Amino acid sequence: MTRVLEPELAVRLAGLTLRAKRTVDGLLAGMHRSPHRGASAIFKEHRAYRPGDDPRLIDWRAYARSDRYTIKHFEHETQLRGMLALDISPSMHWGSGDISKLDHAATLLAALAYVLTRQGDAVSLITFDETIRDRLPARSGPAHLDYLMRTLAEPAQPGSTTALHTVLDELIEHAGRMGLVVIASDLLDLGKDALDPIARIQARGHQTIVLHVLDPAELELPYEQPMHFEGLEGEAPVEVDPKGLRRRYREEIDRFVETCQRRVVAAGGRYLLARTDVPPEHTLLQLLRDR
Amino acid sequence: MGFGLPWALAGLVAVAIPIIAHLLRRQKLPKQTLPTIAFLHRIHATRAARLRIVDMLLLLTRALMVAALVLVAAAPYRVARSSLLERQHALAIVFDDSLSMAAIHEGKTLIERAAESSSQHLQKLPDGSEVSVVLSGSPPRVWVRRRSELEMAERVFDEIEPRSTRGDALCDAVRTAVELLLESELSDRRLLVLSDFTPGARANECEWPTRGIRVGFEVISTPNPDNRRIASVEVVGEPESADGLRLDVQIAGASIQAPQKVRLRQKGRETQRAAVRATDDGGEATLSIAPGSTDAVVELRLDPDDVLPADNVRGVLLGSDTVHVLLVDGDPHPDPRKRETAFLSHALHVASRIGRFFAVETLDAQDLSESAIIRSDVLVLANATLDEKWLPLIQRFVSGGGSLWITAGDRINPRAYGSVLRELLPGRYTATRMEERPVSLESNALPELSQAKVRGRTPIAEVSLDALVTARFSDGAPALVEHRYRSGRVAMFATTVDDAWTDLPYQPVFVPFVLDTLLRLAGRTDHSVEPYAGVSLPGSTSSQRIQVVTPTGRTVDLAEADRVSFRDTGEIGAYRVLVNGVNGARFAFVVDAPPGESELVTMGPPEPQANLETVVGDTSKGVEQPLAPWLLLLAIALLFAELWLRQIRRR
Repeated sequence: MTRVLEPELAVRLAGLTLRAKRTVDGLLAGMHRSPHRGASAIFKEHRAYRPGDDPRLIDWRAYARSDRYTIKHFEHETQLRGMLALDISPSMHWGSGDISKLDHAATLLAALAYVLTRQGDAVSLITFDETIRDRLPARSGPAHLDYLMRTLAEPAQPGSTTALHTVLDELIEHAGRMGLVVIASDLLDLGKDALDPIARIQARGHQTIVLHVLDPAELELPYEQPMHFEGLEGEAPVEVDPKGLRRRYREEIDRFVETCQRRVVAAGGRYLLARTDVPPEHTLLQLLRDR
Repeated sequence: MGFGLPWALAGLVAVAIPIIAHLLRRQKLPKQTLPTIAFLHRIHATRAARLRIVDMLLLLTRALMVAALVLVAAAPYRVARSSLLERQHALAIVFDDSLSMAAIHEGKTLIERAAESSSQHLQKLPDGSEVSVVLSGSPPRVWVRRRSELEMAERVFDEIEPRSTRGDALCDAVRTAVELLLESELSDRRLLVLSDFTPGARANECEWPTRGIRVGFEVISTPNPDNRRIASVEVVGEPESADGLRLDVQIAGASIQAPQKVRLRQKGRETQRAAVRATDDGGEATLSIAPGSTDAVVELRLDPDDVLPADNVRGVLLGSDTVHVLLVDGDPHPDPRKRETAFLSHALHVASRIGRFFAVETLDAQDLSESAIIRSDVLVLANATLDEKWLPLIQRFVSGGGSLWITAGDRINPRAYGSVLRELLPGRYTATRMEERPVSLESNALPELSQAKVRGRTPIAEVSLDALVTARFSDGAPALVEHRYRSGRVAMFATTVDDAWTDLPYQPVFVPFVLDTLLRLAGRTDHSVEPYAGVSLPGSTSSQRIQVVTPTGRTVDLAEADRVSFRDTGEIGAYRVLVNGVNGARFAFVVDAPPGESELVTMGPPEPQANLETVVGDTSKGVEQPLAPWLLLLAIALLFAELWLRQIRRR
């Protein structure tokens, strides 16, 4: 049984509040500011009635005092629609330590789901590799959260490769209204256009957060002796002496991380490197603080 | 290619060690999954190909290194047709052209075979090499002196007489060859000896160079060494006797199976033949010569020829061997050892012991008589005071073919000799003088005479035109002068034959000096000589025509200069000397086959043979050149290559 969400982590994250950067449409009031004026618990302003305004919004008490039609504005707290996307491709099942990248990514997404659910936001989940494997619709409530947790803990059996571009394109279709899209992946689909769909997701009004999950061994290639390296997604094996390659490898992987970050940011999304040797709460704290 | 220790080649299985280690290492490489392997591929793409090559080279290097070390242990060697193929070097060839090398095998003499082999060696010499050839037949001759024109040097082997009659002088030739090598500026010096190495070569007695010169031997021998020869001929009887002469012939050598004959040839014609009777140690035959024969010499031939025909011929002198010498002592002494003629008598006695018989009669000068003179062949007046009454006796004696030898001393009166015997003498004695510093004697025929020192002499002047000076003092003055007077000969010696004025009687050369002089005066050359050694012939007046008929019937006209010394004696057998076209009874000589040359069984090259094959060795097998040092160098080079490749692999 993989570790999904430790209770301790859930408690620490309980005090955190996720505030959406944008106001999104939502059916449910909440902490998120709504772009739509109307009835709400939080008064915003009065203004003069203009033809076309909804007569139901006229503040009759103000009319009685001033004999003018006045419209009363409230700030609406809308329900956030969060979509969590977990890469379950074979490469995500690997980890140099006790925890695989999949475990780490699932932990991060579970924490987010927990926070969002506590806020009353609706959370959906998809798992993917070369295609979408699991799909949970956006719901709120403890029961849904449990279901989501179980799915995160036991995702579907992965295929053999990752097709990030295809999956993200498909994800756009299921993202619904404007909301938050969180993608946890190692992004090892090395196609040049793999991250292009993020721009289109952003264009739909979503805020995209990419959690780039990488193992420190992937970043540093810490091996000292010649080894027979094997891939996880059908790559040809290779025998190399890592000592001789380390410097160039690190340059290469740094360039890869930088490229991913640049492309996500350029598309309007948010990028966060989630090393598996960094505690998940640190990553989430960084994410939430910056919002 | 071969191996000194072939069993060590089993170690070649060790070559599998690096290969197996390589394979095991590949199998045992720890496996590691890595999702980002694509980046390794990207980096490794160009490096992988290089590493694959480096790995293969490493494997190859290690396998070769192990193989090289195993091969070193197996002591490999390369068989070269000739090590002469290496670098420029000075090569001296000692070429045995002695009689034994005239043995015939399959239609060619060993000399011809040796010449072919030598030519082949020279063909393989690298340019810039230097070659010398020394022929070791007695006397040794420098045939080619340090030539770099190898083609020309190669051709000179064709000029070597293929049927030699020479004795062997291998050691002298080796000494000469070494001297030639040491003259060369090339540092790589090699000595190659081509010989049959029979006992006659006496190769084990030579001083072989041990440092600085590599020595190689090539044995050129006949596989059929069975050889027969006429070992000896005993002449029984006197030519003038009624029974004539009997020739008892001994045949030595291989057992006689087929019928053989000995043919007698007189004056070039076969006159008799006798069957050879087999004996335990060869065979024997008997021939006879009718009484009244005037032949001075006859020739015997063993028929049929065998592997070495040259020693199947033997010349036999028929004249009486005894030379009657009358010694007239001008300084008699009661003690025979202190007489003037004491040393002469002793020398003639020694000569008789070595086979030449002299009948010696000694008289005091005052006892000289006509009867004594008539009985002698040679009259020696040793420091004798001349008596006028002797004049007619001596004159008749010399005119009739007798010979006179006058030796100097304090008793002779130069003036008296000049006035009484002037007509007979080849010169005139002058006043006796004693030298402050001793002078030595010189003679072309007897070089050893130079060892004798002369303190007093009675110089000879006014040497007649027909006289020959056969010995001189070191200041050029004549010491021994002789000429022909009618049928006889007269000689004058300018010093004593005892030890009064000279130490000559104490010198080893004294005996041959006395023998030569007396035999020449007696008109008898030596009994037999070795081929090419030359003989002393009786002088003559310029009006006489002297010819020598060789064993093969060749007639050689002697120029005046050759009349004392005739050196064209390369043929074995009987030589006749014609004076004015007539056989002179006293003028004949024979040339015998050199002793030891009839033995054809090879003794093999001398010891040590450790470095023999470094020059040419046995050319039929080639030369074994050790390869271990080169392989060791290769292994070291491979070790460095392996270290270098490992460094490359780590980059």
